[in-house]
Amino acid sequence: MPIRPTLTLFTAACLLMLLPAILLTSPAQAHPHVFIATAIEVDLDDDGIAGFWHYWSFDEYFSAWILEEFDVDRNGVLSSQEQQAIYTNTFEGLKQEGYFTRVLKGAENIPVQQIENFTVEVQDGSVVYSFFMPLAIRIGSETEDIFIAVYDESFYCHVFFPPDEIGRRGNVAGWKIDYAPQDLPELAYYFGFVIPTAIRLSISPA
Amino acid sequence: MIRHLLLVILLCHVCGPVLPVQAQSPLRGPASEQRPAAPNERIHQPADWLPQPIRAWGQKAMGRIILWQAQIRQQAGAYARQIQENPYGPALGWFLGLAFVYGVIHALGPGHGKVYAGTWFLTRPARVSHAFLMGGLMSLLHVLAAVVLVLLFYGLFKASGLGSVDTAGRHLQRISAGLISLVGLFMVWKAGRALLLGTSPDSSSSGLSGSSGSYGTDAAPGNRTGLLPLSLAVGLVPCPGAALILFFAITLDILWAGLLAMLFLAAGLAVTTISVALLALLTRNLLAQVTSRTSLVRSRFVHLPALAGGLLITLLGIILFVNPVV
Repeated sequence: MPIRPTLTLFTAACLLMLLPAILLTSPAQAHPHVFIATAIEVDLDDDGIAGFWHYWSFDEYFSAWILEEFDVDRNGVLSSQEQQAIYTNTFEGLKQEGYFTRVLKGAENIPVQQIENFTVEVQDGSVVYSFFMPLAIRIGSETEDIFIAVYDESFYCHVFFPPDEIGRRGNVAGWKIDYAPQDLPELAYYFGFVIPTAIRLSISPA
Repeated sequence: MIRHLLLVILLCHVCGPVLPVQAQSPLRGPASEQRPAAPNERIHQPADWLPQPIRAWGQKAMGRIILWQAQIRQQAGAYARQIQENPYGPALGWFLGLAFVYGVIHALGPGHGKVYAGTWFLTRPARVSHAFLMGGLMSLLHVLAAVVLVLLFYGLFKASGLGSVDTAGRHLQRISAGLISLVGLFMVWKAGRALLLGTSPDSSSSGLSGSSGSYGTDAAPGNRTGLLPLSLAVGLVPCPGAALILFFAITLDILWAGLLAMLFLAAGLAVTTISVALLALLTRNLLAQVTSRTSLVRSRFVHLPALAGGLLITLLGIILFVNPVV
């Protein structure tokens, strides 16, 4: 019966074409148009991690656009009013996205709800956002693992994270910290083909 | 690495419809209502369906593609600054060459019409020239839409900024989605009618043709009705990547170089889109060669793929129309 394998092939071809429709339940994302280089500092207090200081340096294409739109007086320096306009128009909406930041204490998700001290600078033609992300993570007497990853699930931006070094400030003497990059495949995005890399902070009292 | 890239192109085609077009910038506009899933709410990813080694290849290739895009853009930016100093120096050639390469790599991601081109050529007979026509037209219009918007808002209205282009892009995206749905419905109607009426494949414009009865590209030219409207509808959406590069050139006061770069960028996008279309065409022709040897698939059922393709394109258009910022 030569017809059987042919029918199977034909059916398979039809199913192959319907496969994308089956996958439509996944959220859509996009290839990166904006690239962001990052730096980060952990801010320590007596109870543990007070939060993180983020520094996002945008690529010169996006930076040119930001400056053209918001550096109203064209002096290459962003005034507080201009910075406020940048915050309102390009950053405030990221609250719903957790400011592209995912923080885990072990397996527990720590929601990112606010940021403070948002400022914008221009460094070598690149626009740099700086802000503090308060988290108040209490650390007990045992070593605890804290994970922080920064990535844009919509894939409009690609965030280069983690940086090579992580800075420390605040009660640095009170805590012993080891850190290392660690992939988090369970947070894969872009069809599951991009895996965010987190910083794993192993922190314990000094 | 070439194997990895081909793999990703293929996977992007198969999985592509989950990403019908590029999203709007999360750095602009009102906050999205959609929150990212918490780790314990992990959503299904198409890559999960793949064997681990293939998934690992795909992830590695994607990492390279992202890195290459960043490096090319950075290097192109440096050449653009040199053009500012010396407009007709060697930097111009490098700038345009990088724009082309960037286009090829940039189009490996979702969007840029690969899904529609792939669906079209996988589900109906067509000529090789049709693949070039559709891929070229989609890419050219995709870039042209961005160029027009940037020039319109920056040059004419003096309303610089991502916001204006983004907003206009959103409207165009919705119009595009509506048109895509209409083209899809037209495809469904044509294939459905042929299926119901039992039109002979040899006499149907959407079925087989040619004396040999094969789907071969030379023997079966197919009908390109709908090809141009679909290309136009898909290409209507402006490419944010192109807009960013052109705007960057404008800020450096090298608009002419930016416009030239847009041509090279469009050519690069077209290379990838045409490749996907040709891949789909080849796949279909191979399948058709096997199936055309039996009497059953010579019947009206050869119209099923075209019907499925039309339904899929309609569905994608509707989803995109309802939720353009997906």
